[in-house]
Amino acid sequence: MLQLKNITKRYGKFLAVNDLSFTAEEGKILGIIGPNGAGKSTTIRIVMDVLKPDSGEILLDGKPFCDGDTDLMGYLPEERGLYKKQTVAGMLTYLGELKGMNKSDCDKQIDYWLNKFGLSEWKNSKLENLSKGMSQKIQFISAVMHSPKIIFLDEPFSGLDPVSSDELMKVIKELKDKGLIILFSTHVMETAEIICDHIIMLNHGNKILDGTINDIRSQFGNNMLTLDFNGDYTFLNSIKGIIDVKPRGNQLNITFEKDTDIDNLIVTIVNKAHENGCKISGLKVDNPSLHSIFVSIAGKPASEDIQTTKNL
Amino acid sequence: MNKLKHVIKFEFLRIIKTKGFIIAVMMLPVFILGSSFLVYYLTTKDQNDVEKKYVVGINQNNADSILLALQNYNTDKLSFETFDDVEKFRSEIFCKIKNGYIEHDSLGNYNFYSDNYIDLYVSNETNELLKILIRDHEIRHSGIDSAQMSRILNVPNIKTFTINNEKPGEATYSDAKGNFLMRTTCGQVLAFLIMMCVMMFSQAVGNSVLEDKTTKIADVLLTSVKPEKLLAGKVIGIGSAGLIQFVVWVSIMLTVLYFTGNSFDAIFTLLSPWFLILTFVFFIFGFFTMTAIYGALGSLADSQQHYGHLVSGMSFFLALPFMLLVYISSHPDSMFSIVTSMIPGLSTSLMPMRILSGEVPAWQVFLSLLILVGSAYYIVKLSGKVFRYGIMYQGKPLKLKDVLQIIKM
Repeated sequence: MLQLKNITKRYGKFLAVNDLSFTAEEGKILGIIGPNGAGKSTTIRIVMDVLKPDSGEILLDGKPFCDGDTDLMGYLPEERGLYKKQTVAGMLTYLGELKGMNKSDCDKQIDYWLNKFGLSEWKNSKLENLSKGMSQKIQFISAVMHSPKIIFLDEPFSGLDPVSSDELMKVIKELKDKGLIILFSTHVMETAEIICDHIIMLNHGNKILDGTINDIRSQFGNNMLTLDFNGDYTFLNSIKGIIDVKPRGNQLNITFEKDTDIDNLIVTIVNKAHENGCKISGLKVDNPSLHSIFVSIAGKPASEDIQTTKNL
Repeated sequence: MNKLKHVIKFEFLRIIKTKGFIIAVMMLPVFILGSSFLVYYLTTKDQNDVEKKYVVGINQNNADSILLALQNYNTDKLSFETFDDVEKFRSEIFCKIKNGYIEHDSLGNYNFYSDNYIDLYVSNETNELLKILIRDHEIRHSGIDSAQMSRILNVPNIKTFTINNEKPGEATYSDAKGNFLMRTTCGQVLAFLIMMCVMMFSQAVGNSVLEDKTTKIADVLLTSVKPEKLLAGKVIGIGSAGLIQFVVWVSIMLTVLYFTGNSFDAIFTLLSPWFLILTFVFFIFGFFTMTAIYGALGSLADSQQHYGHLVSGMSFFLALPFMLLVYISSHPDSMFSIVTSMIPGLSTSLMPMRILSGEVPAWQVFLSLLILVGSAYYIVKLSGKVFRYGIMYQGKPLKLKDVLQIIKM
C-alpha cells in the first residue's frame, strides 16, 4: 500500500501541492486527474522520489520511503523519450539494469514482453526505425519489465490506435490482477471512467475530489439526460432549465439544472421535438460524466486550459 | 555505485560506437598526416621543378656596374640577361617569355618592372641579390681590404653549451635554437591536443544532457538514478572516451615520429614520466571541470539553439589558449604566461606547455594544480546542483540571475 500523508511542495512563492494525502492499494488503479498545472507532475515526481516534498511523508507498506524503493517503481511518462540510435534490446537492458536487474534477467524479460506485444522481430532494430505506437509499447515495457510493485502510467494510450489501446488496456488489467499498485494519469475522462477504481482530482495544488467513480458521479447528482435523437436540436437551448447540449453522433448529452423537475422537463422536450419534426428513439437520465465534472471544476475544458509554463 | 557503473558503461559505449568518434580518433590523424605529406610532397616537387625558370632583364641603357654584375649570379631557377630594346622586352614579358626587367634611374633608384602577375619569388630574390651587391660595392670602395671585408661579412655563429648539472666543470655542446624550437613545438602540439579533447568532449557531455532533457528520457532515468550520479556517469563515461581519443592521438604522433626518425629520442627525453603524470593530472581535473560545466549548461537549455547561446561564453573561454599558444610557448616565464597558467580551465593546457617550453618553478606548478583541484571541487559541486534543478525544469528559458538563484538555493 502506498500512502501520501500531508505532502506540501512549494517553488518559491508558488504552491504546487498543498497538504495532499491519498492512499493507493494493491490490485487497484488510482486515477490522478486534473487540469494542466494542477500539481500532477509534481505529485508524480514526489512519489517517484525525484523531488523531495517540503513537508509530509510517503509510506510504502507502512514504512517511510528509502533509496532502494525507487527500484520497485515503474514510470511511463506522458512525453515519451528513448535514445533513437539505440537498439530496442540495448535500450531496455540499460533501463532494466538501472532498476537493479542483471543482464540475464533483462534478456528474459525483454523476450517475454516483446513477445507479448508482438515485437520480437524488432529486438535488434534501432528505435528510430519503430513507429510511434511501437516506441510507446517499448517505453511501456521499460516501465514494467523489472516487475515493479508500483507503476505510474501517464497518458499510456495517447497516440495508440484502437487495437493497440485495447491490447495495452488488457495488459494493464493483468498487472492490476497480479496485485500491482497502479497510478494512472490522463486528460481523457472516458478512459479514466473505464479503467480507474478510484479517482483523485487536483486543482491548483489542492485535492478537490477523492472517491470511486460512482461516488463522485453521485455526489454531483442526476442532472444528465441522454437522448437518441434525429433532427435539428437547436430548439432545446430555449427550454428552461437546460444548461448545455452536446451532440455525440446520434446522441445528445443534455445537462440541466439540479433543481429541475425531471418529469416535466422530459415531457417538454418530447413535445417540442414533436412540434419541430424531430424524432426521439431513446432517453436515459444519468449521473454527470467525469468529463462534465472535470469541466465544471476546472472552469473550462482541459484541452483549452493549457499553461505554457510548467514549473517543477 | 552499481547504477553509476551502468551509466558510465552506457555513455562510454554510446560515444565510441558513433561514426563521429571513429572518424575523430582514427581518421583525423590520418587526414592530418595525409595532408601534411601532400603539402610536403607538393612543395618539394615545386622546389625540384627545374623546368620552371625565371628570366629577368637588365636594361643596358639604364644600368650601372652593380646591375650588370647580377648576371654573375644566375641560378637554375633565376637568371639575368641584358637587353637594349625596351619595347621588344616588354612584349616578351606580356607573352610570359620573360618575367620582368630592372633598371637604374637618373635619381639613383633601382626599379623593377613586370606585368600584373609578378612572382614574389622573382622580385624578392632580385632585391636580395641587389642588396648584397650594393653592400659589397660600398665596402670595397671604402678602402677595407678583402680579408677584413671577409671577416666583417662572415661573423661566426655562437655555439651554445649546456652546463652539466652533476659535473659543473663539464659542458656539452647543444643546438639551443633547435632545442628551443623542438620544446615549443612539442608544447604547442600537446596543448592543442588537450584543448581539442576538452572542447570536443565537453560539448559531447552538454549535448548528451540536452538530448536527455529534450527527449524526456531524463524523466525515466531520474526515477532510477540520482541526478548527481547521472551527471557523474555521463562525465566519466564520455570522459573515458575522450581520454582514449587523446591517448590514440599522442600514440599516433609518437609512432610517426619514431618511423620518420625526427627527434624521437629528444622528445622522449622531454616527456619524462613525471611530466606525463603531471600532464595527466592537469588534464583529468580540467577535463572534469569543463565537462561538468557543459553538462550543467546542457541541463538548463531547452533547445539546441538555447544551448548554443548558453555555451558561447564558455566556448570562447576554452578557445583562448589557441590564441595564446605562440606567445606563451615563446615567453613561458613572462608574467602574462604565469597568470594565465594559473586560471582553471586554461591551466589544463597552458601549464604543461609552459613546463615543456621553459623551466617553471615548482611552486607555480603546485599553486596552479591547487587552484585547479580546488575550483574543480566547487565547480563540479555547483554544476551538480544546477544539473539537478535544470534537468527537470521546463518552462521559460532560464537567465543568468535564475542560475545564480539556483546556486544560492
